[in-house]
Amino acid sequence: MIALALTLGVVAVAALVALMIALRSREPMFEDRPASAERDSRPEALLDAELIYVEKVLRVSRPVGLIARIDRGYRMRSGVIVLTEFKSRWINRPFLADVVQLSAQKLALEGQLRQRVAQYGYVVVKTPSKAGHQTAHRVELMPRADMLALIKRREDILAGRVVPHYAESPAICRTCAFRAECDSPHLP
Amino acid sequence: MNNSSEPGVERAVSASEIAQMGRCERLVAFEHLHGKRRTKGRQHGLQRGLLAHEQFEREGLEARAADAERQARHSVATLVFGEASWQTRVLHQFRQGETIGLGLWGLGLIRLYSHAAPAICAGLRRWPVLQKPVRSALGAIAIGLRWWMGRRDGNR
Repeated sequence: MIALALTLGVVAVAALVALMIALRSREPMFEDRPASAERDSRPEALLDAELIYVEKVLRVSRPVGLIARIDRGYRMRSGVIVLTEFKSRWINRPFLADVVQLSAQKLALEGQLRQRVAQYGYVVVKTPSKAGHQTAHRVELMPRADMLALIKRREDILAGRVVPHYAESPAICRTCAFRAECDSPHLP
Repeated sequence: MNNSSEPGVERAVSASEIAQMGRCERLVAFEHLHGKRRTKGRQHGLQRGLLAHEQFEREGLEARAADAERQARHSVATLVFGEASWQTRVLHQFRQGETIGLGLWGLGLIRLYSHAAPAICAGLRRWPVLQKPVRSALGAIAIGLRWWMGRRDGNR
């Protein structure tokens, strides 16, 4: 309540001065943000957002030890942070691994900085062609419980307590360096 | 971007290592047993991706620097108190972080102020004599906000 009253006071003074200046000043009242490559790469929903994190490294030890590097984080007007992950590849679509990576970043950001992070994010895919088309794909992130379960499952796989699944896509097997060792049904 | 494990953080897993689980669990197990292994094509792709990522990072850093400069030019608090002052920090913290609980009216007012701020700054630079009363008024508000935020954080 006090904060609202204070804000009202500031805004009232600001509006009065702004009106006065707008009538007398030659300077433009509103200044557009300059065009930039970063701005061009934003999805429309983030045009009003503020870029606050670039290559931000985060570390949390609870509930699990986790390190994440955020490519870009935008703060919406509501205060919620939206994460973006950059990928350079020919296939212009998001993969499950991208979603997992963004979800892990969300977990780390919430844990370390106590920020509210959106349940969605963007995977920005740039094709390596000369034209270098860049597309921002909106993806829904994994729930916290699912992420924790996935991290636990990884530990179990590394400890040999669980048998790991094969890749779902044969394309992953075709480019895998462990084809000789693997008995995946996708491999001849 | 790859998120590699760093020394000194015990048993911490990186986001990119977890992301491998979404690619292939067998691959996770193989890399754990034999270390990372890449085909030539994949190695080439990784190097190309690294370069593209560096450019993406550079663009982001440039944009953030430009935003910070623009904010400094258009922030009344920065103009009258300086960028490093606690008053500027408190007022910006309130404007950026405390909008969540203000509702539509509060958000609207802050938005109105954000639009008016460049013109106010222009006026304050043109007539520096106005800076003193504005500094006094904003200083009083900053003291109030600091007290209120401290009290609220203490209650959490």
